[in-house]
Amino acid sequence: MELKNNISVYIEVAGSALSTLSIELLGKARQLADKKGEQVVAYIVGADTSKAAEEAISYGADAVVAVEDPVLEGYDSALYTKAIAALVEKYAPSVILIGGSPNGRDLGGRLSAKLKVGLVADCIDVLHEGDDDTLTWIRPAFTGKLLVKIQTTTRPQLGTVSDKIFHGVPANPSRKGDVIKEKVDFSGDAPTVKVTNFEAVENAAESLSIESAEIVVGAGRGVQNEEGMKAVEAFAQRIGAAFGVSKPLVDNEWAPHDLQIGITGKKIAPKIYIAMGISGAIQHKLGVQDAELIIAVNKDPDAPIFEFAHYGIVGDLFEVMPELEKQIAKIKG
Amino acid sequence: MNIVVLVKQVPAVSEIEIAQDNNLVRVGAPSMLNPVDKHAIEAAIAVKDAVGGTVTLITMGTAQAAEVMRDGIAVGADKGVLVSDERMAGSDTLATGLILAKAIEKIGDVDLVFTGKRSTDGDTGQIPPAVAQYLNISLVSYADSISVEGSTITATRANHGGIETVQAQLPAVVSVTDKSNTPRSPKIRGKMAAKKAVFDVWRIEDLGLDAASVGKSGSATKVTEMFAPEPNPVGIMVEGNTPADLAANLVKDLTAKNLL
Ligand SMILES: Cc1cc2nc3c(=O)[nH]c(=O)nc-3n(C[C@H](O)[C@H](O)[C@H](O)COP(=O)(O)OP(=O)(O)OC[C@H]3O[C@@H](n4cnc5c(N)ncnc54)[C@H](O)[C@@H]3O)c2cc1C
Ligand SMILES: Cc1cc2nc3c(=O)[nH]c(=O)nc-3n(C[C@H](O)[C@H](O)[C@H](O)COP(=O)(O)OP(=O)(O)OC[C@H]3O[C@@H](n4cnc5c(N)ncnc54)[C@H](O)[C@@H]3O)c2cc1C
Repeated sequence: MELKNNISVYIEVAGSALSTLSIELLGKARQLADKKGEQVVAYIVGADTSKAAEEAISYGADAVVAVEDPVLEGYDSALYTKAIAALVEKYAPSVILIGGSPNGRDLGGRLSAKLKVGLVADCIDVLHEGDDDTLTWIRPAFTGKLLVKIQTTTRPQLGTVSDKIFHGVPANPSRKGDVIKEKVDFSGDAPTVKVTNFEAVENAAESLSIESAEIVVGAGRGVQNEEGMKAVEAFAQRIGAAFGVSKPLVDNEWAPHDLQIGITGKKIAPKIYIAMGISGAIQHKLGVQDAELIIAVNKDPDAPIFEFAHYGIVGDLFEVMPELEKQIAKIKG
Repeated sequence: MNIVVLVKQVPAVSEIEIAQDNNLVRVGAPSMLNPVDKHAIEAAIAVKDAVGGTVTLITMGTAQAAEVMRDGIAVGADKGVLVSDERMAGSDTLATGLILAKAIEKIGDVDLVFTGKRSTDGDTGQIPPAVAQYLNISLVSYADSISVEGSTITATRANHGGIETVQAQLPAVVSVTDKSNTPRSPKIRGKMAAKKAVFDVWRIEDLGLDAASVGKSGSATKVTEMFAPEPNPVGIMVEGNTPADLAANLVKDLTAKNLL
């Protein structure tokens, strides 16, 4: 297989498995490559890359090029950069997608300086606008008030991509692909940076705050009673969202004022706000209008919330909620 | 210990206006020290307090950008260097990283380079790794805490869904977050020193660089367009006869539009 000029993905390994972000990048690379009739090549660096290589192929790579060396046991950006630079020299990729994780960003910045090529940081989209291999990268500017399109004038085109933007394809263990191991000379090299301790942080789903969470579920008087409210709260927790309420639920003392969303409660600006059984009074609207996406479930087709929600579902929230949860679980895999 | 802190002048964010044609209106917008760079300065002064040494601030920018270094002098930095040259205008991270690395090399025998994790304007976070690569030294990025002992720096950083402790051999570039410390306030004497401070100005010749490797010609990225994000349209009613259909259609549409 011709491995030059392809779409390459730098694969980050967490533990021994691919990071979720790497899977997302493989999904995007697959899309870009299919449109151009090109191959997706995964670059993997580490002390033991076999399992990750297999996984990368199952998630969409056509081939894996791996650099394995005991000196790569831990992540030292200098040595990882050296490894990838050697692969670039041999395989001359058109593009390398790099995950915008802390380590990925470090690798990207170093690689750009080492190869003297341009890098676009923390992109939220990337596309071919013309017929050649030039990619247009899109990234936010000025705290998201604007977006910029950036191209690099050198090859390979480097870009780091933030997480949770692209979707991976489901793993297909029967996919086939070559795994090529490349030797890089690390004699005389020793890591100068070492991870000496790691402490996992407990998944803090319970303490998600409505002010900072990406997804917020709001419960309104449509929940009927305290028990109904608890059901919505449990739904929020299961889908990884923070939970808030409209004012009447606080007035009824079902929920503390801390959770009230609206003009006399908290103003929120999540990526997604899901309003369950909320009519959409102006005082509530003013608290949620900065959400990027509002989804409303209400059994009354004339409820005012449908005028400012981006998506409306007319139905009984207790019937829609479990179905929504199933669908979300499906795409989360 | 020979310590350098990279500090950047940025526009005061709330002052940025976006014109109809999506061009930035920056004229007259007040500027300030990139907020997280205060923590880089504090990190440097804390190391100097503990083991002794010199703290040199470096900023690249217009003549006016030098003003942000006064914040550093006020809390104990020894001197500042302004790297400024109209030929450097339009430098991307590739060129900026090179220029700053050359300035650090010119100072010579630097043990530690502190930077902020990101700027609030360019916001790439690429300068610390680029500088580390040009200098060919260790990099510890996004440090939430720092301690230096002998020729080793120990830091904690958030990574892989947890907190890792990292040890690096000096010399090193260390980028810090706003959690890394609490910046001290200037005292009267520091404020006086800051007012009086005079900064060296280095141009590209002083750095041994040629004009082709800096500014637009030394950059490898180009902005082709700036535009405002389109808001999502409102009022889409999801179709379907059963709750299951409704939920499926909603999620399908959201996934297709990359909204989930
Ligand atoms: C000074 C002032 C300040 C205020 N501040 C706030 C504030 O900060 N925040 C706030 O939220 N409100 C505030 N309010 C109150 C606001 O005016 C509304 O009364 C309140 O938002 C209504 O809450 P709701 O939508 O939950 O209830 P309702 O308006 O009663 O709406 C309930 C909705 O649920 C739907 N429904 C019922 N059963 C179901 C079901 N089984 N499935 C699906 N849908 C169902 C109904 O069709 C209805 O649309 C304030 C009011 C005043 C005067
Ligand atoms: C909207 C926008 C998008 C951009 N996107 C890209 C891109 O994708 N790729 C690209 O290559 N360039 C990009 N640039 C250009 C880039 O911002 C500049 O090269 C800038 O000089 C340095 O990058 P930064 O501000 O992102 O620094 P960061 O890497 O975010 O800054 C981190 C730290 O480095 C230090 N530092 C940074 N700049 C200086 C300086 N001038 N003097 C002293 N210390 C400094 C500070 O300690 C700072 O806290 C972009 C610029 C803008 C305005």
